Amino acid sequence: MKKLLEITLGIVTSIGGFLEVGSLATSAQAGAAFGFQLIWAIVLGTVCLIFLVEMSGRLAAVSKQTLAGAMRDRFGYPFFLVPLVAMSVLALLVMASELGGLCLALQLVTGISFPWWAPVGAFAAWLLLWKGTFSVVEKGASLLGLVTIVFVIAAFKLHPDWGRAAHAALPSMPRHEPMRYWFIAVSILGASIAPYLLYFYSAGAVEDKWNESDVPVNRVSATLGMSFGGGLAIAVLIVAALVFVPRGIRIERFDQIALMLTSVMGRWGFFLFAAALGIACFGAMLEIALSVAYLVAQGFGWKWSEDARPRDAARFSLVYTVTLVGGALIVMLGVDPLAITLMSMALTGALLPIAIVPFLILMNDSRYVGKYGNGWISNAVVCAIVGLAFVLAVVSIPLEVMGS
Amino acid sequence: MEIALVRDLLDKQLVDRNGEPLGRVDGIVMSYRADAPPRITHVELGAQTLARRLPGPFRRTVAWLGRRLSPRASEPYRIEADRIVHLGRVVKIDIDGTRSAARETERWVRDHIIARIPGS
Amino acid sequence: MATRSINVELLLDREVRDPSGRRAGRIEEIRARRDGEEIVVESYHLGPEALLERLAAPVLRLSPFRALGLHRRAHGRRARWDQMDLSDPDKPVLRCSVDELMTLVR
Repeated sequence: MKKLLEITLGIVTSIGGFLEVGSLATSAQAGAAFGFQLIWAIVLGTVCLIFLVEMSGRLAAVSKQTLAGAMRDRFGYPFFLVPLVAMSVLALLVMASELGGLCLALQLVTGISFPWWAPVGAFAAWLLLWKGTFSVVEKGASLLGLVTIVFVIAAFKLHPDWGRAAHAALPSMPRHEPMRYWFIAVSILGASIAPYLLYFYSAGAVEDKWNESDVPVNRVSATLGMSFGGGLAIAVLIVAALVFVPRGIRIERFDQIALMLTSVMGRWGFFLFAAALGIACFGAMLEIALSVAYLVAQGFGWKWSEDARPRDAARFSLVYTVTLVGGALIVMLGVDPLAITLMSMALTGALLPIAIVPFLILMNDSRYVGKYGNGWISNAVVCAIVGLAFVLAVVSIPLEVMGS
Repeated sequence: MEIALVRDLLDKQLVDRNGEPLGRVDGIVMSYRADAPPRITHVELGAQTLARRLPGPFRRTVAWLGRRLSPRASEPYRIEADRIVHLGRVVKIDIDGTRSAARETERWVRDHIIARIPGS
Repeated sequence: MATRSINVELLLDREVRDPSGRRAGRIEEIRARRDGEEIVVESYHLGPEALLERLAAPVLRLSPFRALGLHRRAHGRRARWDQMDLSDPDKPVLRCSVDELMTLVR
């Protein structure tokens, strides 16, 4: 019975954490520009994420080390700087995107222009990390994140052709604007396969003192949780496709995405969109700030613990504080939030090998995972999808940058 | 007991007598003589030690950063090898870390930055 | 005979040559023995010289590549402590010829 409760909680927290500004913006863009066609990108990204999240839980449960710690442990110091710097810079950009999303949600509801919300949003997130414990952060933000189910409801209300949607789960070639198609595809992959999630998840598993007996449960909750999350992103894409394509709307600005739910649900839709966007982004901000702090603190062997008071994990607390401040500064610079979101998602795709190759090596090293090493399917699937993301990113990012 | 220094000691997490983290093994010091087997005398921690492991231009940047961020970063911190109690998933050291110099930067950040913020 | 302090981590990756200048490999690992409270160095493992080969080794051991049999090429040599001259730690030199070193099979 307790196991069942654990699994359910695991799944629920996984769903809530999945949809954030990256998935929202990329899925909405995909739906508006290409109808159902890019559903396969969400499917691929979700499948890869399921494997990776399960792996990060398994690594923590068996080796009793976090991903960041195990990377320094196994590969040593000069090498470790590469993922450390790359992932931290990337996380900062994604943090700015999420904060931008939160600010937009607040702007929609209050009418107050959004750069003003940046210090407020960052401060609120910081306060929660400063005073809260890991459980409160993880479960609270995720339970609230269930409001994103509103997109699933909207999708059903629009009576999509489910057959056509299922068909789109298979990859297809674009019929127009190929460069944009592949750029959005890699952005979707980068939005789904977020490396910061892996550092966050494995740290949580270690802080919760997982062991080998948690491996099967982890498998189930990772699969179901991330699947539901992928379903949410597909719902967003479907709604965008059915709302924007008939009206010929191309998404150029963030606030256009807000219209998604109004045509389906009227005024309520508007507020629900703002709530879903705001809560999802807020949750992501917490996870990203903690992920950077985990990376740095675990890599250098400092005390790291979200449960501990800040004074008992001083440098760790300083790092997440600085990360939030950095994100706020970027947003206050007035960078276009939609542009930074799409670009940071695509950049994630390009940098994935840096995060994933060391991870895969660890998952095949019996000194860390004992008898619980990866089977050839896990290795092959992850290699293939990450490889695809990398190739797409390297090809499409420069062309997109030149084109705009 | 056989030890592979890179695999089992270098870059491993150090914990003190109470299980609290002390940092990571950033360096290992050995005493070399031509006519006797070299002995490992200390493990070393600190920004300077890490900086020296990097190639040329990076070394200077990191060393500079380390000096700015760590108040007492001029000397690397060394722990005598005979204080190593156990080598396993982590390296256990027979030290009480609360007053140890290994935690000096942590204490400095706590006292000068964190403690000044309410609610810490 | 003078003793000097050497930082072991700075020896890693240094190319080792024998007295006639032939390459023996790069210092990859150092094996030691714990004798009571003393940790005493026993031997140095020298690995393949090519950086790419060394970085690729763990990647090639992953199962998709293992099927292609690419993982078996790694080789190495072991130098006992008395076969290594570290009077200049930046330029480790063997005290014997490369051929006298024991070969290691991975």
